[in-house]
Amino acid sequence: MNDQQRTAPKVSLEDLLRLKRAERPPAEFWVEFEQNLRAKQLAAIVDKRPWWFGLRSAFKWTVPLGAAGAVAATVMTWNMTTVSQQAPTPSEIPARATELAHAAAQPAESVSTQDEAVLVAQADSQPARAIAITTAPDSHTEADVSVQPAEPARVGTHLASVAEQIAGITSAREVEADSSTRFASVSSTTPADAPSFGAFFERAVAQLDAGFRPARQPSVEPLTQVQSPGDARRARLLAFTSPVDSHSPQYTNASNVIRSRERITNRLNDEALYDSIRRLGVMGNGVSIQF
Amino acid sequence: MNVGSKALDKALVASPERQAEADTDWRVVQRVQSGELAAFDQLILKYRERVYGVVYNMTSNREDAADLTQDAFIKAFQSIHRFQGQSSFFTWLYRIAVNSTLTHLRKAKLRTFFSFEKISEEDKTSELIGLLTDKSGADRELFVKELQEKLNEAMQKLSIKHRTVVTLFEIDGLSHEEIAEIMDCSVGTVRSRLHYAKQILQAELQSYTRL
Repeated sequence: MNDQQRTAPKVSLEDLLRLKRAERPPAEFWVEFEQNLRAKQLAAIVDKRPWWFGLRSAFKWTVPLGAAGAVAATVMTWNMTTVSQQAPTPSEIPARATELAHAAAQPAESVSTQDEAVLVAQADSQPARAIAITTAPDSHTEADVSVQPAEPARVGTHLASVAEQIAGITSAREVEADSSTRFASVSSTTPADAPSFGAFFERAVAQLDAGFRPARQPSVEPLTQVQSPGDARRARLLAFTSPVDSHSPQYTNASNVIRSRERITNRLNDEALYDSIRRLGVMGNGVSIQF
Repeated sequence: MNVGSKALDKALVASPERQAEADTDWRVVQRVQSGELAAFDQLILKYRERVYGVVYNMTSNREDAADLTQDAFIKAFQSIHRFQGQSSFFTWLYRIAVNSTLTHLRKAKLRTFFSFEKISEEDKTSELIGLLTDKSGADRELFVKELQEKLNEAMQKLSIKHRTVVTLFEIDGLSHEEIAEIMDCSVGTVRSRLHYAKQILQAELQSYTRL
């Protein structure tokens, strides 16, 4: 090593890096810099930031969490709404029917509900009609208890509305143990030649069955009988019980009624109804049924 | 003997001076927050060269450095009402500038266009260059330009975060604690990144160093 190299000052990396401090723009650069900065400042003042701009950092994590909570609340609300829209449970109908039954069986008592007053008034004027509402087994029924005279042999809205009330009352009877006594006392006023309630039931069910079983032999145009299943119709039919003999000792058997109700319910779900409608067709004078 | 390093160290602000500078800045900021917007110009004039230097050494592009420095001052102006004096103003301003530059560099990774500022030969710089070369005249200018390109090329070999640490510590002269506050990391992380970056730069610039 020569003397020059031995005595040469050292140059470190830090010295080289600090050399970069000397990299500076000329003075005229800052004139243009100031002008551009002023222009950007004015543009920033004119172009106001949205009101939520300053909240971004504050709600960095709360927004996603809140969104997740909102989604969960929406799902829960939807589930609850779906459940509440379902058909009323059988327990709800007997409660209402019980009120009506009590009012009809005890006409001397003052009643507060409007329905009960109507029933009592009608019982006085038309005993058969009132009894049809309150006592299922021993009285005849009318097509429309509240207004119209009895026309028992009709499948349609009249029968459906009557069936709904009767079915509700009968199910209430089955739940309460002392109801039969009350009904028996009322039924004693029934006219002797009144048609059997059970027979009417059987006929009504048979006609309903024919309307919703296209596989049977339709005597009339199937499409004229088949109606669009609606919630109201389904609700009425769900209250319909199976046709049982009114004198049968098993009449008060709740399990039979429940099974019948389930059977009808299964038939009357939307899918079955639409499927039955699709399988029907009319060609000229004939009816086609697809399997 | 390391030429210039002791003198440069003297130029760096010591802790009491840094504290005094922070107090002065805080009074100006309060004036701005009270509605005296023209007071913000004082802060711009005071820190524009330092902020520009940091951004330039991170980007090695003067046009980008100018735009990013202006954006940093605009953001600081818009957010001045949120500054509560918990840190010094220049640390807060540096953080804005560094974050903006890091965001820009991440977006423009594929674009490597260098445009260098001319090295102004002050006393210290001239002395250092004299140590590196005994050339003069045009040859000296050519050597300086070549050295400048080599320096920036070596800096570009570092990652964005390593380059930032080297810029703030070696070029701007900030302490490890100040760098940790600006980059929102620990002091240990700063030391670790600095050590690694120097190893890379040493390998790249060994032909210029004389240890």
